[in-house]
Amino acid sequence: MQDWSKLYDAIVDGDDKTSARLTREAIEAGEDPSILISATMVPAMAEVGRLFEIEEYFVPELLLAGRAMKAGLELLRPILAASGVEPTGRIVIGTVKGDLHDIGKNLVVSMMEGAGFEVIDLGIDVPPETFIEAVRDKKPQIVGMSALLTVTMPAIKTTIEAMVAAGVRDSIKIMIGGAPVTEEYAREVGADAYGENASVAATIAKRLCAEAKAA
Amino acid sequence: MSSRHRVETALAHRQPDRTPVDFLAVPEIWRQLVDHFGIEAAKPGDDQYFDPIWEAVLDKLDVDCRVISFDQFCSPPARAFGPKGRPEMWNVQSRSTPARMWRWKTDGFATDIFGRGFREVANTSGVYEENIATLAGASTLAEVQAHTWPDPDWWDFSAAKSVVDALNRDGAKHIRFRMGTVFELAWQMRGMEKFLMELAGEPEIPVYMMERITDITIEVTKRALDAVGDAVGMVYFYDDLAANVSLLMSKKMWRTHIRPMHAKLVEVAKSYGKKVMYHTDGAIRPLIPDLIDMGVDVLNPIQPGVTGMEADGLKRDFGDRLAFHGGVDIVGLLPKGSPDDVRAAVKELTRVLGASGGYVLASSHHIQSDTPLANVLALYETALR
Repeated sequence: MQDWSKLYDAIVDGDDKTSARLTREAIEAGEDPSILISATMVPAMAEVGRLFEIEEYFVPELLLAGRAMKAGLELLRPILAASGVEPTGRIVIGTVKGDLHDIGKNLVVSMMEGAGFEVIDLGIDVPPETFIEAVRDKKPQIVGMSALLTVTMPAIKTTIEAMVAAGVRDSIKIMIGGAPVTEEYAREVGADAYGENASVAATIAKRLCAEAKAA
Repeated sequence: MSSRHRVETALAHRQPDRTPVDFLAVPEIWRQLVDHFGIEAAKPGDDQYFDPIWEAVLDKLDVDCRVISFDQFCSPPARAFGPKGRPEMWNVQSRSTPARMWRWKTDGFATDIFGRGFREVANTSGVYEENIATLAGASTLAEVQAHTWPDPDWWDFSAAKSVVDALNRDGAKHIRFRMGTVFELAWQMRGMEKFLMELAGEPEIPVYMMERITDITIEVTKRALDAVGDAVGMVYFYDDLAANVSLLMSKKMWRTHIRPMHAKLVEVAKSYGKKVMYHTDGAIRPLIPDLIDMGVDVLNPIQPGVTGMEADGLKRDFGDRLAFHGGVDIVGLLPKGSPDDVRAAVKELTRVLGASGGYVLASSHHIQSDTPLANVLALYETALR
């Protein structure tokens, strides 16, 4: 494999144009897409996560890096799909019913994709039945739910209850997050994990996914 | 001690007769209080500036502070928003004070004075207005410039003096003028992700928007303060700049793009000799020295449970130069605690933040619709403070 450290830099620096250009060059050079992702893109987003953790990076830099990573990833996806390569894991994610906030959720999507996951983003104001349908159709290892308000947070609980009633709860790990959500609340409603921020969420997702696959 | 005197004493970092209070709540809580107190009054008409029913709630709770807002005195011409729709002043979902607002309403959609869009969304215990980014589609600066930005001449403050005098009819209240917001309004019009990425990379459009909003706000504030004179003691503006564990942007980016706008707002208030209150949610501690340096006198809301915003630490490090407004937890304590828990928190906050004045007790944001009425009433028991 060639040295793609400039692609790594482009993602860390949030330069989407350079990221797309270098990814195209890598494809033309016959680079294996899954190795490009695991050896360059995933470490780049891990570095972005580290910079965010130490407050060198903030939300704007995280957004730019996520966009740069996606610019490259989108070019690799069709090749990956054609070659039948499995992602790290599959995540279904959404902001719960009654809540239209998606910035936090979108950051989580970026970091998850950056960690090599296939993310199925259901968007905002997602009713329980849509989550259940997605679990049945997409067979994810993990379902992520987000809520920004204390008044929409109860929808996390009702969604989990609906998944239990529909008989799909045991096939997945559930992660929740959002401003009012706490570790304690996650335990209370029967979620498997709470992610304090997007970077932590990606780390936890990898662990949960490994557990789900081992089980 | 009049309410005004009580607040001014506290803001001057001296001990008032008791800790002054303010009140912020979503409409569902106001309605429960109206029922609880059995308040009966006529619904306000479009010629009124305050809802007398909600005003009576503030009187019943012995609330010391009142707010007059820039948008109460604005009547944009219909041509700026038409042809479809109608103006609405009272039936506005995010109206959380007795002050009238201004929305241009069409089916399921509303626009404010600046052309920011809203739609109403139901959740488990109520309804709220959600923002729609109306300028998200603009791809050039020229398109943003061509937006119908408000003209200061849309405002008419000729009634402002009599309006504030009416607020003081049963004794002087502490009245502040709500100037509005810069960063938040701009990103809400543009879309947060796009706005923040542009601000970090190619800031032409976000900077233009914030400068335009700042210029309008300054002119409108001058006209308001000219009209009300001494009756208004403070101005206030809001821009959320932090999340629960950190700032929304680096301090460097804030200093480059946000601080200069805010400094201009503070400057106009100071030129009229007014105190300045600034609201930002979240873990804002890293910016506090700058805020003090800019001339901010009062910080709201002192959000509990977020990094670096512990009441005792803030009071210790900044309490001699900065007063605090807020502090009562709306996430855990008010919806989930008992009335006794609320009473204990009020006593503690009053003791810590209110030592030698410097504190106005209030919830850390609007009291949400999931809060039991008994907890709201416990918060306002005057004997506690």
